[in-house]
Amino acid sequence: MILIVGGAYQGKTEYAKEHFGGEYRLLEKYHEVIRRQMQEGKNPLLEVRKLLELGENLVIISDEVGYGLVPMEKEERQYRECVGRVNCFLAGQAEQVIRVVCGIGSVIKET
Amino acid sequence: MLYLVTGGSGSGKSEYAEQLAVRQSLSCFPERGKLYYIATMYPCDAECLDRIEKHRFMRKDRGFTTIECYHHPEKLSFKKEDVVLLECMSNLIANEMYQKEGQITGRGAQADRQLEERILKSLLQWKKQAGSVIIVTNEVFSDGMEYDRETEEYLRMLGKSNRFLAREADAVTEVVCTIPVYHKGKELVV
Repeated sequence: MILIVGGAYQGKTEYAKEHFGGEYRLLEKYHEVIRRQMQEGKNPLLEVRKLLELGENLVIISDEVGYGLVPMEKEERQYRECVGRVNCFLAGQAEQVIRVVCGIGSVIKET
Repeated sequence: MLYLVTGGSGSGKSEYAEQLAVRQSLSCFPERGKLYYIATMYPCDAECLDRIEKHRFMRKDRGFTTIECYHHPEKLSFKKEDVVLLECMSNLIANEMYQKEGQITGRGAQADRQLEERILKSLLQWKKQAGSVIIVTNEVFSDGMEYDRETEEYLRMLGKSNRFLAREADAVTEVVCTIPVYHKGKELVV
């Protein structure tokens, strides 16, 4: 599994298609998946474990959402924290982690 | 030595900083100095208490001596064998600005002076005294929001502190999803 993170509109998907098109299934906007799971009362950390157990060749793309002030609403605080923790977990499991800034990808982890 | 550790929320920066502090303490000053955890989160409500408890649990077997320091960092002093972990600047600055006992009472240029004279200078003093100082801070500057004047002033104070500390630091590391990204002094922390 490969994890691609970065701010919104930084060219993460484009980077993914260019480098991993074909061999991998692209899972875009994973942070939104996490939000939906939380709304449905699911535990995103458990859900992501289940996803990885399927053993697919995945490129998971997620926004970095933790680079702002602590939100006023409790749900938003929990969401932000949860996306961070899921991304931490994914980074631990990933064979490669890429961070995309202004369209430029930096490989920050490689096994 | 001064190490600055930064990152977004939920990035694993605390875990990274704690490990760095323990490593420093073991490798540079084994069995002599103390390993201090300077806690800054004021227990204001159940959620804060929860976070405090979570962090206490995380570090319980790591040999830290915890000191609560919500403001007035000049009141603490250290020995040259000590390793000091300050967690974190975003709380310390908020406390200094918004709590009754806080030392940043002015705005604009006056706040700048108070920040430099009363807070940042004290942290440099720690750096001179202790063997290693590790300061955790927070990247809170990129949510594209426009805030009220008061909040913008807070962001300005924290940004100013981060730039000052990064200049003074021997190493600056940003933690991204648990992965250290080195901005300065990589050879000192790898």
